[in-house]
Amino acid sequence: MSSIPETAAGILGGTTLVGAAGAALLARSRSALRGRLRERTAELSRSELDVGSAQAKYAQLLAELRHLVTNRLPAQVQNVESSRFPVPGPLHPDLAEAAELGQSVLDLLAGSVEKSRRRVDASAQAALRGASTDIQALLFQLQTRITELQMKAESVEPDIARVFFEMDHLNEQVARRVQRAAIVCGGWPGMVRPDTFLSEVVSGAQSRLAGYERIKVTSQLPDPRTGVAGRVAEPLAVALGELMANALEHSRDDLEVQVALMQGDSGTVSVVVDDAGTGMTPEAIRRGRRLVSGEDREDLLLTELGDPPALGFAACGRLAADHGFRIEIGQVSPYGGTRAVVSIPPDLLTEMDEEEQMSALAAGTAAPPRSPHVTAPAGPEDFAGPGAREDGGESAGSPAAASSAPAEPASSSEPAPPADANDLPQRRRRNRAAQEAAAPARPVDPDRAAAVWDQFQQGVRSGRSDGEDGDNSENSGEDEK
Amino acid sequence: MSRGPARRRMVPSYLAAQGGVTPTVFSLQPLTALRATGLPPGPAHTPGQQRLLDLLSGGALSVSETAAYLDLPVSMCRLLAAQLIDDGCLRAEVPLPDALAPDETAPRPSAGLLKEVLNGLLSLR
Repeated sequence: MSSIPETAAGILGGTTLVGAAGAALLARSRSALRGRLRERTAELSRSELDVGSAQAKYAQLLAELRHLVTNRLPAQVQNVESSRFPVPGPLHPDLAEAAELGQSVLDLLAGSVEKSRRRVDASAQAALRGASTDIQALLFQLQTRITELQMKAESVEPDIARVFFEMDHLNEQVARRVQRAAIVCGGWPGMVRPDTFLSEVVSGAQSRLAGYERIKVTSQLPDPRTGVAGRVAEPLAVALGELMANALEHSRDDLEVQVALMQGDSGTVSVVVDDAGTGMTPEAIRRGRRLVSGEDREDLLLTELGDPPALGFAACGRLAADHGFRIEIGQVSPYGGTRAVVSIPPDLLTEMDEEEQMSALAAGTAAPPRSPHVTAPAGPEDFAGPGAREDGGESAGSPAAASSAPAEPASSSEPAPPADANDLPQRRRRNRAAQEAAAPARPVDPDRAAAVWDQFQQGVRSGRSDGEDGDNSENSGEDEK
Repeated sequence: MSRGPARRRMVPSYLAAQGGVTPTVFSLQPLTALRATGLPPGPAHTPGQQRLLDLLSGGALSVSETAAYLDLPVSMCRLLAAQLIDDGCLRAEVPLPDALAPDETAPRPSAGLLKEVLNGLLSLR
């Protein structure tokens, strides 16, 4: 049995070999495993790094989004209304795509907010314009009624007369406000006027304000008959009214507002409104200048004018830009307040017809070239001082003479031949008579006139024949009395 | 709605008062004659009052006539004149028709006669 140990040895050797080989193999596989493990670990740490950066990016995006919603969007909404509110930029400008998207959201929002804002404002303006037109018409009617009442009430108590005048004044103030609102909303001033004396325009503007007695108007116009073209008369009155109202509003109740009319060498007439108030702040001046220039009048929004909207300057700007006169504000007046100047270019000016009479109340009528009839009686026989007139009245015993004398005080009462050519058209009495006569006299029908005179003649003839035929009892009776 | 003839006049008559007319005398009638005393208007007088004085510098006029010349309501002229009388610039006199009568005894045409004349004239048109 010797083979057994050999076999066993053989087996053992074989096993050993196998074992050695196996060990070598094992060692190799372990190192491979270790290598893979290293790789995996590295991979893992790499992916962990990726997850970390992704998380960080996610957090950034979230923060960016939150910033967009909570800060940038509201700021953009405010920014649409006023550029005073800045819109903050993105938190992480390096996230280019996110920043771009965010900006496009903001732009979209701004566009749609702006659009709806304009739409709402336009409809508000339309509503206000429509309402003002109707109210304006009614106020003019009311004014007509009040004026009729004033004219009829000849000898009422003074208190009642004063109430009529106060009503009139209140009505004018309401009309001014309504008219101003209509103009700011794109309406027209509401009436067409004939050519008008500039002094009347200024006085008209003055009359529409509360506290108008504080306004002192002086006219330094070389020609008191300077007028403005009808198409700008009302717009000018409105603009001047607003500037004077502003002056009154911004100066103390016991301070005067000085209004001066003057004409420069270029022919441009300026109306200067000076107040002695506190003046305007630089901000208000900047804003006011922009408004009165009327440059962006088409883009003007009611909501930009404050609450309640300050309409005065806006109305001025619209009128000036539409009608070709110029308004400047913001200079300091000689009295420390604000100066406003309205410049009326020569092409809007006109010389009034000789027949036109300036209103007795118009500003500047008491200036050196006073009312015509004062300058007219140059001849000594014509100028009837109080004493002279009294003598005349007493010596002229007959009623006819006495009545004719005071009836024509407005100018040379006995037609003074040399001065007549100039003076006649200025005589109020003549104008009045001419106007009154003109209206009914124009439609004279020759046939009808002939008929009337025919009847008259017939009447006279029949009266005479009656007298001849009939008795003389009537006459004799009259004589006996 | 109808716009009618309603329109806003440029210079309303209340402007004549310039807010400050509070006369102490107010017995003026529309036919009271006004006569200037020769005292010139002061700086406080409104353009309306100055125009009234200008108008009367040529002689006496009744209140109604001044109203017609100045195109003002009679009531405003009464207010203005009353103020000027207070200030010594004007003097009020007896209403004109009485002053015009040659003497107190002379009969004036009766209202009836005047009415007949008026009717006759109107029927001529």
